[in-house]
Amino acid sequence: MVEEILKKVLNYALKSGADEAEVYLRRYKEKFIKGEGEKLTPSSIIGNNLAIRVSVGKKIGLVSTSTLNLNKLYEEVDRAISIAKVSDEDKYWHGLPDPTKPIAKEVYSDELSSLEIADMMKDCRLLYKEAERESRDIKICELYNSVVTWEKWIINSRGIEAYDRGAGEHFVVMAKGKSAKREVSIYDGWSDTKVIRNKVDITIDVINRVKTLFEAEKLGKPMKASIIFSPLTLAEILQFVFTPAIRADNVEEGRSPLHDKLGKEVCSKELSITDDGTLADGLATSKYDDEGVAKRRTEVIKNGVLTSFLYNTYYARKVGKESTGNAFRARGIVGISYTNLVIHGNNKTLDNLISEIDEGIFVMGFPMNPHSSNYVTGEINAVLYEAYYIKSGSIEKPLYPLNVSGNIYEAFKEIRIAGKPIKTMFSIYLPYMILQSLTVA
Amino acid sequence: MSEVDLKKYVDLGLSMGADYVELRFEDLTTEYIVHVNGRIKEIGSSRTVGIGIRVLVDGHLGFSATDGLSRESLKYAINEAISAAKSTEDITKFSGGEIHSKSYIIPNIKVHPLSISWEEKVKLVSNIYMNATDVESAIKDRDYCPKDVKIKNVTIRYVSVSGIKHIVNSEGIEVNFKPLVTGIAISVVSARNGILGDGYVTVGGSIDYKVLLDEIYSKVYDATWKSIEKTIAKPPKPYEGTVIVRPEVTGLFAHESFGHMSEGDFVASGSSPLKDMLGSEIASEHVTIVDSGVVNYKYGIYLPVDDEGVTTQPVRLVDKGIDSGFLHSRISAAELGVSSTGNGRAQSHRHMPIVRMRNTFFEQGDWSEEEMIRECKSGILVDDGRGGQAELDGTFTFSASRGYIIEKGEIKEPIRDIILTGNILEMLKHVRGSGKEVLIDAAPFGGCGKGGQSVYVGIGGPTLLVDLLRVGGRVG
Repeated sequence: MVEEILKKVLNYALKSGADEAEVYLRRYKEKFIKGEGEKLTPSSIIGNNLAIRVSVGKKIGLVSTSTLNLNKLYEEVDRAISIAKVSDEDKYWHGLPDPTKPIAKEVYSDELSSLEIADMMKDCRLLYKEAERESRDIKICELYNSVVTWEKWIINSRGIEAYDRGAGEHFVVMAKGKSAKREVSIYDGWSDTKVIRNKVDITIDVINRVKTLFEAEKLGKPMKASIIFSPLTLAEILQFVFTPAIRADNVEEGRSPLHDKLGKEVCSKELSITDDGTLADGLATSKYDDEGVAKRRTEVIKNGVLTSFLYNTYYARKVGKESTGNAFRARGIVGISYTNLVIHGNNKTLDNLISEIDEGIFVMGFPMNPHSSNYVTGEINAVLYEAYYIKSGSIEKPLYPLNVSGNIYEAFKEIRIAGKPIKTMFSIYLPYMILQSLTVA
Repeated sequence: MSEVDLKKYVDLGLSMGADYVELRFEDLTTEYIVHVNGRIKEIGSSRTVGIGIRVLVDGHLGFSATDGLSRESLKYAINEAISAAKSTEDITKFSGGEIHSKSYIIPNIKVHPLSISWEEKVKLVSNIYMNATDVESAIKDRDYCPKDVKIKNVTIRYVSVSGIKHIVNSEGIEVNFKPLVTGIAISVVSARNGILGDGYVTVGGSIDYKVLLDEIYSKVYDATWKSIEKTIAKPPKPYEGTVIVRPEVTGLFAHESFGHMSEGDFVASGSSPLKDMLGSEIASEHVTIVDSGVVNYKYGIYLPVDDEGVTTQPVRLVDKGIDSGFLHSRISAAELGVSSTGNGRAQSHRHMPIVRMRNTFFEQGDWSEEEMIRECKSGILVDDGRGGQAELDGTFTFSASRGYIIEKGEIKEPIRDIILTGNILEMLKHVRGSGKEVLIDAAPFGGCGKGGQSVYVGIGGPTLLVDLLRVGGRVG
């Protein structure tokens, strides 16, 4: 049924004057629970994102819509073609992608897809009871729990007929408490491709971290510090200051400080980074990217040397390369995104790292305001909400929130790493890391 | 009007067991052009059509949404909403209010963006690009002129979002509204001796296409100059003292920090420290903060009605230093026993309305910026807010892209990548003066995020003179 509609739309586009055409459809169902205070509100959403890309000569037109009504889709095709005709000719346009064989295995959980909203509500109510049992003074103040199942079809006039599907659960909880000294609220979260079974543990952990932070003290003076970042904290900062800089579109368009660094040493030899859309059970693992190209594994940095950027088909062909399977679609626009970004680890332990530090900071949890970091310049700006002071190789005391600032590439020149990569909810997998040369205040 | 007979499906929902049914039809089209380094990178349109359904069953709230408009899809979605409602134990009440049937249109839109051909819009972004790369004009009349600057990137974004909303509920409310938000953003990246600097300007709101053009042409060179100036600017050293904040940054304080604390859901749940402070003096007498769906300043979003069908009311959150009001949806209003202020907003038909701001801004004062700089003697001026984050206890961290050191009552060297931190309830006590001109930024790039939803908002105010603010910086 769906395949038939998409083929009709594709054929209509080709008959109507498109030289090449591509039709993309993502259908999803989301069950979502939002908790405010102790009140839980359930929602159920069924949505379609259908996108059409056409080329007329070397001119491109894009449209997207939520409808699957065939006549309305034909109107959208007409619109895409008329938009393409007024667009600029793009000499770098070398056509839509060609078919590729998938490498990754489908990541799909039947258990997740059959989960009922009533079951999710029951689990969430249990969290409040367990939280109450752990502490009467520290409460869950916000909670988000969603289960999304999706299917994706991409067909194009070069023979791609890709079908993909996936499922995921996402959970975020925020707890808040007040002591005589201060009020503290922190949150934590987790995403998985299977049912998340440790929501109670996550919730209890957050409550206990709130308790610990009641005893926080002020750092006192700004300092240039060795900072041990927990995987979650650094992953969120990297999303804003680093991952956009390895996208080929930003590189090609002069928005990446790495634009002229391919093949050069850009950071410590200890650092190796891979984008892996095929990672077993990876949060961003699926067979195809958003233009129907098989996802794959790409070495981005090897032993400190920048080895590749991330490409979709357009930007790859522009520089005579192959797509790395990183096409990402939003509102019909075909952009580039990392998939599962893996920073390689070693056999050291977190204790090793801490013991190496004479004076420094250990940070965990979500940072505040990481989006004010600037990937164009590499400047980090964020607030480290859960910070601890390290003295003579051991964690001494919790600290009030700290501002962290500095340049990510300067910080990457001297890093130390401990342990294997740990999954974070941003599909960035990384070990504990020490970054130097950042200022905290 | 929607293409679906909403009243029929309201009746169907009631017949299926709901005590209250509300259907919100939306058909919104986004037109966009992304023009990068002299050529169109993306051009297209995105249309989202669908219905959000909210029901009460024995006082339990459930929500569902569907993009399908067939009877089968709508019946399934109503059933999903009813099932969701039955899964919760919590009781929800809606505040009462005016039962009305109204159609709203935006005044003063002589030239609607949708009436402009794609050819003309393409010409517009091409012309802006030509101006943005004109370094000679950008540096003309500036006090200093860095050499060897190269423009590395010019990105121009054009966006317009428009369409119809049609809301019908089982109490008898029926509302039609044709929203419009349009805007242009110019981003320029310059390089000098390996150092990159970025400059950014935006114009936008619920405005006429010709007005949009006049405004953006008057600002193009600013984007280029800001990027050039940033290549010689240095990050500031950590600082605490007098800070002058320009309107974009003022807007961050109004919206991100104070505005969220005034949202009725946070007040009702006890998360906001303002819960028991109505009528208390919480700020200096120079502080008045307003949230309104309709504004007379340049250029807000126009929201005469919210997504629950309630006519929007302007709310003075702070009136000359006194905490004066909260923002309410029908649900938060019922929890506190007051009336909705028309702040129930949803990102799209796929989202449930929650308490959201509209245009949030500090009201004008009587200072000029020159007077503030003279009065400040030594301090920092910050400009170009880059967003930030605020906690409900009032703690904030905001970023400003650029600014200047002030010495002896004069602007001195430029600074970049500035972080402001503190607590809004402390900061408001140190506002010594506010400027004469209120500017509101309501361009449709990004938006305000809350509860997994993002909505367009207007934020702004005048330039503020603040006696005590903390600026994060770099050591060594």
